[in-house]
Amino acid sequence: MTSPHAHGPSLGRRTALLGMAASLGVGTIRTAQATASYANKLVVLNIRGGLDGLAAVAPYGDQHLAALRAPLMAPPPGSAGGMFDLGGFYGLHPALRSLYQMYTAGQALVVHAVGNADADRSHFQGQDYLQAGEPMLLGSGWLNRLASFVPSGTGPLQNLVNLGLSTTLLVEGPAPIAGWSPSSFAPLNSSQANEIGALLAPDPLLGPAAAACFADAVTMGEIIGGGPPLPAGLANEVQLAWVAGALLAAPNGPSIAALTFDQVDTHENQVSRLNAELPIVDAIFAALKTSLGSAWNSTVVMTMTEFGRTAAMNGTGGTDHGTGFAMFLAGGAVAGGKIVATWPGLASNQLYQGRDLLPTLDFRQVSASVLSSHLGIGATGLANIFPGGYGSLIPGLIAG
Amino acid sequence: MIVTLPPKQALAHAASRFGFGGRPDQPLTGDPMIWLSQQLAVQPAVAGPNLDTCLTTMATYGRAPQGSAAQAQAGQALMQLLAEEQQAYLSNAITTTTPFFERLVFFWANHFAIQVDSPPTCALAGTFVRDVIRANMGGTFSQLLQAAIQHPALVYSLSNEQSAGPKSAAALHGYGFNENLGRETLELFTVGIEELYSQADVDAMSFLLTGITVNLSSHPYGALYRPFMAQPGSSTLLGQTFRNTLPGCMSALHMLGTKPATYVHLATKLATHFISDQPRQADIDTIASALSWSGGSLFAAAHAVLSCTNAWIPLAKLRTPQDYLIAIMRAANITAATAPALPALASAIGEPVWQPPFPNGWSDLASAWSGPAQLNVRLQCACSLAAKMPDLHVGEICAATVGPLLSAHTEAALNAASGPAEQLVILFTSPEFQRR
Repeated sequence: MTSPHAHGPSLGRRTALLGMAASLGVGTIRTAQATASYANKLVVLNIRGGLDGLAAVAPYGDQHLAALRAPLMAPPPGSAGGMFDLGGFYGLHPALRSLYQMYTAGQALVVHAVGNADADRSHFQGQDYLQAGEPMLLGSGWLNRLASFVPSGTGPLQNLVNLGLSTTLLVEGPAPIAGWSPSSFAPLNSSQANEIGALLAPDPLLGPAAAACFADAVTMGEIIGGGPPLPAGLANEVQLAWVAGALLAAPNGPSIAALTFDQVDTHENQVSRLNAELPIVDAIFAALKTSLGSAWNSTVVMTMTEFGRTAAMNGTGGTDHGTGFAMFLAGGAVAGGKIVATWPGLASNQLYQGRDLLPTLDFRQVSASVLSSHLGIGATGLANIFPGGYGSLIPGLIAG
Repeated sequence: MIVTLPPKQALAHAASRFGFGGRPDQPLTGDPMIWLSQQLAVQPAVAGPNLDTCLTTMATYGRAPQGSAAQAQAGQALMQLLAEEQQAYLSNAITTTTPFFERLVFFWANHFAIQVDSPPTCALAGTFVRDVIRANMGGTFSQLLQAAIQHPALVYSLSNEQSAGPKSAAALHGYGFNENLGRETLELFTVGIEELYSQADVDAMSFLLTGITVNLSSHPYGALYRPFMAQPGSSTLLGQTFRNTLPGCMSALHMLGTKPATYVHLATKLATHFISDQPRQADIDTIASALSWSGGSLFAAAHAVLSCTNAWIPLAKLRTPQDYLIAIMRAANITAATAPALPALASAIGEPVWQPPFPNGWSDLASAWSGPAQLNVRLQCACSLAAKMPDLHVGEICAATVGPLLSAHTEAALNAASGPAEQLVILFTSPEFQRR
């Protein structure tokens, strides 16, 4: 345990941090003033399972990469089925074609060698920290806390919409949220909604949730029904991305959307699994761009994941849980066409604990920089959203 | 005195908190504690295809030429097997007369969660629940752990079938090592992330597991230990050294499965599942202590759950979508013969059977199930099901389910309803029916 990310025993560390959180006054978020103006949109895509950053954005110019994982590498740029060259050192996975087009159009960038708080390479603790925005379990997620700093739009919808039939810590918290998912059941009619709403009203959990969900379901149905028709045959996650774009683009829509993608925990047969899964990730970006329409120009789509994976291939054609990872920022508001990284190197003495990509940036640093430059969140807001700190802001991620 | 509720309320609470909700054709009388305790002596068997049959279905698909008609047919057979297993699993919960026992099966199946996201797991999840979880409910956690780890469902689910020690004979033939099952054995199944283990312990557990794989070469197909895949020598796990052999691995699992940290981890999960989203330390201690003095008896742990006074506070938990669906079916006296396609309904309501997104299983917390889209779909599901049950006697259903627990507010809404159809919607969507 010798890296900047090393800490003492994990139990003690968390206990100490929980004490610190109390002294920072977590929970005062709702009293803070919202200060910025909000044509600008944010989509957070949480890629759960630990996306291999060295496969998604391969530093093929690093002399040590091939020795670690030649069988996992896509062909070099310029050859058939090869990676897309991102400036002579990094190559984008060949399945990420739309993202590459955004990159060349100056609308996408990569932040590489990013770290989450040390979560002992655990998916579950890693996701908890990633979603809480802190290496501890706060009672709310950082995206929910952000929603408290984003003024309401012109319509009745909440500022934050969660897509899909699962709720994660990222969007939980004091700020009310909207949620959308496809349904195989008939929608409630208005008399059912009124009756059930009144029935559930006294319940502290179900009452407020029901009241919000009926009103929002109607508004979202109108927005989606009034927009361009959903293309047929989309993967579930891509369909959700399409809807997210339509909602954000509406004048009475939310400003922030949360999307989730799974299936990247590639312990085995990584090449074929990523060749099957990354096209869906790419299609998510493409669907957002299309359905956002002109609102794409004021949008940032940001990906995150709980950890990167081992630098070396394991014995079963995959990679095990690691540390440093890559994040994507895409959208018309991104100052794209570049890689933002302090490359730590892949020599054995440069790897974290001799096995993983060493993080040289923190995902909270990247996130806070986006919130600051893109959404105008000031120091007070950022301190509430990332109460344990976020390091120094990174300039140049956002255009203008 | 553990149960201080009036008798009718205590029975209604017992049926919903520790079971899947009341059935009008299974009226309960007497002492709820006796009714629950008696379920911890039996092990009702259920029928289903054996492991060899399931592995054969899987292998037939895997061996068919890519893109061939034979592969398409084998794929259909595979999905049919999964659908039948899922239907039987939910149908059994709907009809059972020992619902507390079944809830425990569901709990432990979720602890060792198989994700049906690949041909092997689709083929094997049903036998795993039947032959591992159900078959070991009367034993100790250590026995359950050892059986689970060797079953092909978990071996495939967490990628151990190909994992060979880097210094094993198999490594010379292109086999290699991964740590997927080893890491989750420590973090999810036994001591938990709060226990101080290191990467070296993850490596040690993973080395001990090398060799645990699957026989697909001669019938009966099933679990197989291949010594030539095992890392030679021994491994030191949490300070204790074990031989990298099958008995050595089982000793290591026994050590992990009986550690105090494991008992606390399991007790916390049991208390969260059955008592409260934020269980009190005293209740966790009660359950952990029962696991400890009984040598890890799963029934002793279940008795300890019942003995916690806080477990008898009504309506403190929210039903998960699957359990909500099962409760509605039980309320309507649905039988295996009259049951609709349950797996599709479970998926539509947001909790597809054996398909949690991660190997840590489905959440036990209300916050994970009460988001706006989830609540909307849940209520839509209830209304849709109620509309298909026009001839039911709402009064009887109410009395057999949450009637004794209804608030004045819900009762007033029921009385004000325009007819039985509307009453049924109100009953199913009431807080008392959504909670447990």
